Amino acid sequence: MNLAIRYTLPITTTFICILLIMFFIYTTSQTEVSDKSATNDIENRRSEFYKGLNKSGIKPKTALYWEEYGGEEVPEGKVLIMSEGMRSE
Amino acid sequence: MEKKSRKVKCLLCPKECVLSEYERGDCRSRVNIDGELMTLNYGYTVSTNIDPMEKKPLFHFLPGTRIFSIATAGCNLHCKFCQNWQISQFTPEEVKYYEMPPKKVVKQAITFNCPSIAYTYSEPVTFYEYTLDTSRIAKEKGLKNVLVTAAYINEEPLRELCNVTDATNTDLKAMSNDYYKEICDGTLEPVLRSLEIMKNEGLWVEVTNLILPTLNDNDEDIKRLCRWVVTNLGADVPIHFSRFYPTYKLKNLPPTPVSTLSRARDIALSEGVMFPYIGNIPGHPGENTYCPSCGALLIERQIYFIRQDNIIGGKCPNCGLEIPGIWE
Repeated sequence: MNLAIRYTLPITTTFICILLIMFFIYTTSQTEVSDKSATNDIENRRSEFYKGLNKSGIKPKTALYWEEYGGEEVPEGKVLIMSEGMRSE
Repeated sequence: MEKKSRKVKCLLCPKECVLSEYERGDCRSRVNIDGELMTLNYGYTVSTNIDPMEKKPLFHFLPGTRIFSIATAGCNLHCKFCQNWQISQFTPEEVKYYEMPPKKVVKQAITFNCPSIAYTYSEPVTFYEYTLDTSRIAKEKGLKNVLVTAAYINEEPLRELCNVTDATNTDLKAMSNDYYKEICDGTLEPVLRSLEIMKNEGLWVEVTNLILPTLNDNDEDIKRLCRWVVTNLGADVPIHFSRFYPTYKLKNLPPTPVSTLSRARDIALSEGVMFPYIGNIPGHPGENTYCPSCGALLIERQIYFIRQDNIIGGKCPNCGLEIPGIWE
């Protein structure tokens, strides 16, 4: 009985540690992918936006009444709309 | 290298859109460019006309004069019955525009003998900066400024705009928040607040209520609207009950029956509204102005034109009652 505990306990502990390490690696890699994806989103939007803007000849002007937004999440009920060629339909 | 998204929050209208870089607001005309909110319709008109004042409609403000009218693309509401959806529901890049800086607008208005400028057709809230700058120059040159608006705007920017605005025809689309949400993609309360602000800031205010069959045409809706106007703005604020014609996303509805509009006018009179009008029905006697005291015909209108104007010095020629409005 003692022998069984002596050998299985370290094996189980090692196995759990390996699982934890794998989970850590997995989540870290996912964050990196997500960050890269966000950057790509901005670059894609930027590229699409300027494609349309340059074609139209419109020159943007700084707007009044706005602020930098520090919150991470968009508040419930507020609007977050993508830019390209959008219509209401 | 990682790039952090710089979000901005637009504070112009009650929607207060939060935008990541290169996203644009619900109005389609304001966009986050590298962490700075920019407007895309400043100085780019998509519609420019010389209209009769009665077309706005403003019936108690410089009647019979011409008003230089401009619009740009975009709107912060999305009414399913929009009559000008071809310009209001598109981005500035999608609609053919004419470059017309504020100074040029004012110069053109003067050239064409228009004593006033209207910011209209789409939604002046959406071209706020353009409206504000043009209005300031117009004011300096002695012209008057008129907002034709749904008044879906935050208090601070509205108050700033009121400093250079003389009159407004504001849509009060219904007295129901559900209606604003479902039909217009907005909310009621900010509109009511804006109307009170404009009245308190000394603008000449007229209200338009477009009546749609089955959606906002029952007696109780109309009564509530009239009561709110009388209580909060005053009995002397004209209300225009306007006829709906099928368009845009509500082509399934019939035009508003004439009888519905006549009934709305009768309800308004019984609720104490001194100047209820019927719009979009050419030749209807409900287009005319009558003295609320003696019933004399004061101004007879035919579509957008005045056939007779009997008001003398802002008073009824029959009983001498002072008629509220800006007549000269």
